[in-house]
Amino acid sequence: MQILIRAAKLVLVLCLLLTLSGCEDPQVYGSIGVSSGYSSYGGYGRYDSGPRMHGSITVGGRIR
Amino acid sequence: MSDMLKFITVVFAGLALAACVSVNMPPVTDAPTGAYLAGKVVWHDLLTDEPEASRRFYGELFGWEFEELGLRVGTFRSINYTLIRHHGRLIGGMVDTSRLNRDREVDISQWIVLLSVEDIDQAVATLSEAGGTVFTPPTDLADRGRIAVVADAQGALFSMLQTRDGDPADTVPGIGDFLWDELWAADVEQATVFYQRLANYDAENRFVEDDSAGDQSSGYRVLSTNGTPRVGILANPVEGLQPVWVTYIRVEDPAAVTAKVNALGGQILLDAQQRDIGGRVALIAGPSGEGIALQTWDPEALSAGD
Repeated sequence: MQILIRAAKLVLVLCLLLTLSGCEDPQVYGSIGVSSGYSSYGGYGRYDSGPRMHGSITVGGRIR
Repeated sequence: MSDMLKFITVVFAGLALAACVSVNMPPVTDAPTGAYLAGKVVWHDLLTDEPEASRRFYGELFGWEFEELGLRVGTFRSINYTLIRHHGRLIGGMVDTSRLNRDREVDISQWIVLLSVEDIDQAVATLSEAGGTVFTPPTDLADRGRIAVVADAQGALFSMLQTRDGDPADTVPGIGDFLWDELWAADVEQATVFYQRLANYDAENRFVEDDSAGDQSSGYRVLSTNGTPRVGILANPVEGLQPVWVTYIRVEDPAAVTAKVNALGGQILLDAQQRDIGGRVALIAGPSGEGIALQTWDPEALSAGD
């Protein structure tokens, strides 16, 4: 009986360790926004009335 | 042996057994060339806080397929990364920003371009010397290679990747594929010099200067390596927008795509319009607010007129 209890404890500890340990998700993008030097820019933002263009993207894009 | 000592022994043994191998991200191509094409955009990552809506959006608009990585970290968590395929070919990845350990108040939804570099440690050092910001230093992603997440001296976010087995070969983008990438810069000249330090680009002005952009305009700058156009630089045409990399997708008819955008949770930022050099272009935002451009492209017609 005591052996069974010890085995159960061991399994419990190993399960706990497996849950807590292991490699971390490589959150390479996790540091964006918490590091200094980057503002709260979020893509193009969610403009209510569209982007305020002062130039033109019709000169852009791929050519060849 | 005391019970405490036994317990500590078990703990350390468990840690040793539980230590997992590093996460192995798949390469950016199924057919690596073994060569480095420094300065080429070899991958795109979508940062979104609306992953399900993004799948539907891009799936419906461009026929993209999404494949969650089966890798697991720890015991119960899956890796926060989804591969994007088009006609079965790997074209990009998607990250759920709501699962990142970061400040949720900061919206980072956008498409990230990954520029190829041959030596990422050297590239990061050069970037720092040139006034760039390093958010994530070179990080090993096993089969994919080593990645660093950075911003240029004007604040535009991008990544650099040193692939492990070489970069994908240059191919002609099909409909629904990534077509082009350009930087909307606050200072075109300064940005040109900055990126030339990273990838030894040749720079060339392509168009007559856009007078409407005033002093900021230096025309459209094309950066090439070994005669192959890689990226463009344009004076930022959007008032109040921080410098940003803009990705283009090749489409047959931008208007046909924009007609579906609102129903799929996106926005039309700029209706389809004629390009100065021919063809049409439009600007849309996906469900998470990330911008992306649409462009028609006929390489044969453009080459003939170029």
